Amino acid sequence: MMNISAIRADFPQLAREVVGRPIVYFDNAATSLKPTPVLGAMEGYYRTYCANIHRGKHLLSEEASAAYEASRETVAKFINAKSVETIFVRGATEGIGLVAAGLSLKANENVVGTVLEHHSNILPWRGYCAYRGAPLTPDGLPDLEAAEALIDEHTRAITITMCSNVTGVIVEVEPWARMAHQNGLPLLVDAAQCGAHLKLDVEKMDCDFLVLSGHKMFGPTGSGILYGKRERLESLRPPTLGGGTVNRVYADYSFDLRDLPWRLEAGTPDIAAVIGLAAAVEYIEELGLDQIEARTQELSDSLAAHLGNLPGIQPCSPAPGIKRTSLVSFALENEKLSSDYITRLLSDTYGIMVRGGHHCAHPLHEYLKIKSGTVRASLQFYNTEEEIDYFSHALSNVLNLVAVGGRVGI
Amino acid sequence: MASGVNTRSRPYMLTSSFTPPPTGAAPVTRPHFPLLRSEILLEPRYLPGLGQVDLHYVAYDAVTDVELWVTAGEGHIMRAIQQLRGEFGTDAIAGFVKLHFEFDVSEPQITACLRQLDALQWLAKETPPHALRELCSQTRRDGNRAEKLARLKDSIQRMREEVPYYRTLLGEHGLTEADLNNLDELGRFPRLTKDHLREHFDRLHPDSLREHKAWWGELVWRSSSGSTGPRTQALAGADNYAYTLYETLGPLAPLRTSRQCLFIPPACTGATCHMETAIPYEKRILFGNTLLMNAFRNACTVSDAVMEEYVSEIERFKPMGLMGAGSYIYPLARYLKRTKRKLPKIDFIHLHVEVCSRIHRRLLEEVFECPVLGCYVSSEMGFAAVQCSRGSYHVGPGFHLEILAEGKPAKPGQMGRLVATTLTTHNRLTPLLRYELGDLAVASAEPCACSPLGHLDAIASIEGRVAEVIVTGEGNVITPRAVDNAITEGPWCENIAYYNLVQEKGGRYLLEVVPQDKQAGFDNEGLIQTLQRLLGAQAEIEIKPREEIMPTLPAGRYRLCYSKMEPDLKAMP
Repeated sequence: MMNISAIRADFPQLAREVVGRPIVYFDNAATSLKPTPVLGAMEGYYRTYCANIHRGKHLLSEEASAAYEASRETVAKFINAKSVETIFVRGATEGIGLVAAGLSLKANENVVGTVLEHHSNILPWRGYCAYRGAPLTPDGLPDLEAAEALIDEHTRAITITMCSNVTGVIVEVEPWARMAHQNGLPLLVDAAQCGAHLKLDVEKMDCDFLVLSGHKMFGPTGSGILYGKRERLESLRPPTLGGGTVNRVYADYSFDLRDLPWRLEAGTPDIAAVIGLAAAVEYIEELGLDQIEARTQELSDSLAAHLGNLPGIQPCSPAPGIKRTSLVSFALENEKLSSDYITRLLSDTYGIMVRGGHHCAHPLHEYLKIKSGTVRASLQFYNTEEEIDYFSHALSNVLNLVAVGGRVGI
Repeated sequence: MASGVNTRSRPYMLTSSFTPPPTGAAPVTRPHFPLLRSEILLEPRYLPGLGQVDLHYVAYDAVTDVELWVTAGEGHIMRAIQQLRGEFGTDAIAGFVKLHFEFDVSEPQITACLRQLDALQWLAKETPPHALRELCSQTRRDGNRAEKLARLKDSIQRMREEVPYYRTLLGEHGLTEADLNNLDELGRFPRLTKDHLREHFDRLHPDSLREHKAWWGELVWRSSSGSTGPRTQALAGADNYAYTLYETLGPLAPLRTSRQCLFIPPACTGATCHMETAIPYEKRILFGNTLLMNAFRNACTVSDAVMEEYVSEIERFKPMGLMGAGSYIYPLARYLKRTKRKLPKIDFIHLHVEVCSRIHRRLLEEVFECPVLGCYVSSEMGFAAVQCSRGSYHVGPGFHLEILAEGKPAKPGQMGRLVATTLTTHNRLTPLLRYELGDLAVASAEPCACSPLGHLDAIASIEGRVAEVIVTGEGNVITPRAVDNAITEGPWCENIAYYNLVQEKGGRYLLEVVPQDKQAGFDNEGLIQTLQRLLGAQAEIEIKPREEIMPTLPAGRYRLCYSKMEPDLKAMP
């Protein structure tokens, strides 16, 4: 059983007041709040052993290098990967971009994904080749068979989100990995929404690549992970070369690439962010992902039940019984109203932070025939039933107010 | 007699204000007709009417500078007085006969018109012109304030009866509209802060909003940028913006024209951000008469291609006026001057959004060769005040603005915080009672004697946002307007395109300047000496030329100055 009061005390930002009351932070799918241990780990680096890594022999550099590589080990274990297969990147977007660039894709080739994807799992591919999105089943899950039908001789990879940032549906990865491998293709899993909610086991998933964003799992912004099977990573052409990626540069300017993981980490990384990310992982592990999952599931069910009774909204959720994460998005029946405005009203009048808009998922909104975006409430274990009640009451007031209609503008 | 439509001078609607004597009333005593003053000029105009062309007259009084549109009947009366002069002025019977039979004007109309002309001081009296002008102005100001008091009482009654927040608040204070016997007594009523507006937004609308949705028609949700404090939102009628524009600028006809291009920063409000995606021309035409120009983030480095697009759209839209932030119209003026391009004639420029630097205003006047006047506009209220040719800001009939220094009404010439109350029916959706706007203004030392707006309450100047005030080491409060006045008083400003004065944490000052001509230098010494006169002789001032100054306020707005030091609240008005 989690001690929520004690846990909330770990997150200083929860004490912040807006309009005379503590904030309600329901925007965890965009970024989660940062606990004191993460802030402390980063401050510790900057205050006591700030130095560049790997290329110095002095004490501080050694300490910083050790902390950096220890962070890699911590994070690798977290997803049941090897350190050598764990690349630090700035976030999931950069991780996908690195793979897309490293595969040396050609314009006449394609990548098969789904309509569920975040722009960050579409555009990195589109920068090089075509993208094909499989539709959804009536349950709200991506249609595996339809995806397989999209594969042709020019397909170079399969990609799938493990959890939609709009509908919250959780996708079972293993069947997708089997399908990809049967077709001789690598599978990349976008797990950006999962790091703080689900146990991730890349070996069990049998995925070829997996990306995570540190800032969505209590870590600092600018931190993230690209996991890849060793042979898959070795086959990538490093998109950026520079300091740290080579063993030696010769007089004729030829060079030897360094081993993994460093060949894919050019330049000085965000050392503090990596150390902070490891602290975040340790924080999650200390709480226990089983406990976190149970807690957020409980909150999620409660939120869905509250919203189910409100008129004027259309929740965008998977069918009952389909596994989902702790977020609920809903569209407004009055299409003239902007979801942005509902978000702003909730923020400035009630101190409730939710997110409005298309959540970087225009194709999904178009597929769902939602024009004016959705409002998304995404919870974490530090949220409470009282906050859900308050949100429900506030949303009811706001919907009652906006039910009179109107447009947004000047 | 044709029905008159007084379209130009709203306060004096001769025809519509006539009240004919009731049937059976005592016979009207025929007055002795004095002469119509010779300064009254009459000019016939023919306007399209309902199925016919109607004759109207424009009557202009050169002494009081009042211009009226009057009906044909009224014009006949006035012309008869002028033409007949002695005969008419001394022989009432003859005058009546002449008007009644020759011009077919009814007796009650003749009497009522004469009464109105007398009230306007248009009938000859032994009064010197300047005294007549002041008498006339005072009468109009008194009328405006009486009307404003009545509307204020009506507004407070509506707030108390219809709006949950005010119902509770005024109930707690035991205040009603009956406690308001004159405008000064409004100080007894509680003020509304931006925090209140945010926190109680859902209780700041009339109960009837939800019940009579059809009555309200289309609504508009408006958001403020947050440049003057916590960002806020307001619900208004869809025509609120256009209506307050019309009402406040109404007396400035023809400057209140109804076709304009709007230049606002990229994310003027949360609701109107149109920077990220260039919106097609057709979709940017608001209310059928306002073209919202695609915005750019950095006015210092905006490209010629964008300016060329502006020129093209202005040529296509053919606006009568330009409106918006001076700092965002300024690059267009520079471009036109540099390329010697000419736009279709622009009749006026109205500036709002920010305190516009005189550097920008001067160039706009030079390039567009038209009046450039300031407006006081807020997202929550609409157009509240407009500047006249004498520089005063005149408060529109839909608003009551107070200037409070340390919580009390500012004395003439004193600076204080602006507090607004909305009066019109068009602001009943989010009515504001003594709303603290977060801006500073200076109370007028004496009534403004300008002609078209003189009857409206006047504010000497809008000084800028409270958040941008600099408090000097000596405790003097320096506003953005004061900074601009100092910087633009000398010849050095001729080479300044944009500037920003920053009070650094140690109390030193940094003046960042984007020059118009990089090769030409500044008279740094002269500029520093001028600023030292403003900021104190001991002020350390450094001047740094810059390639650009970014708009760093919320919603991409520029500011002329700000302080990095903790605000000295004691020094603030």
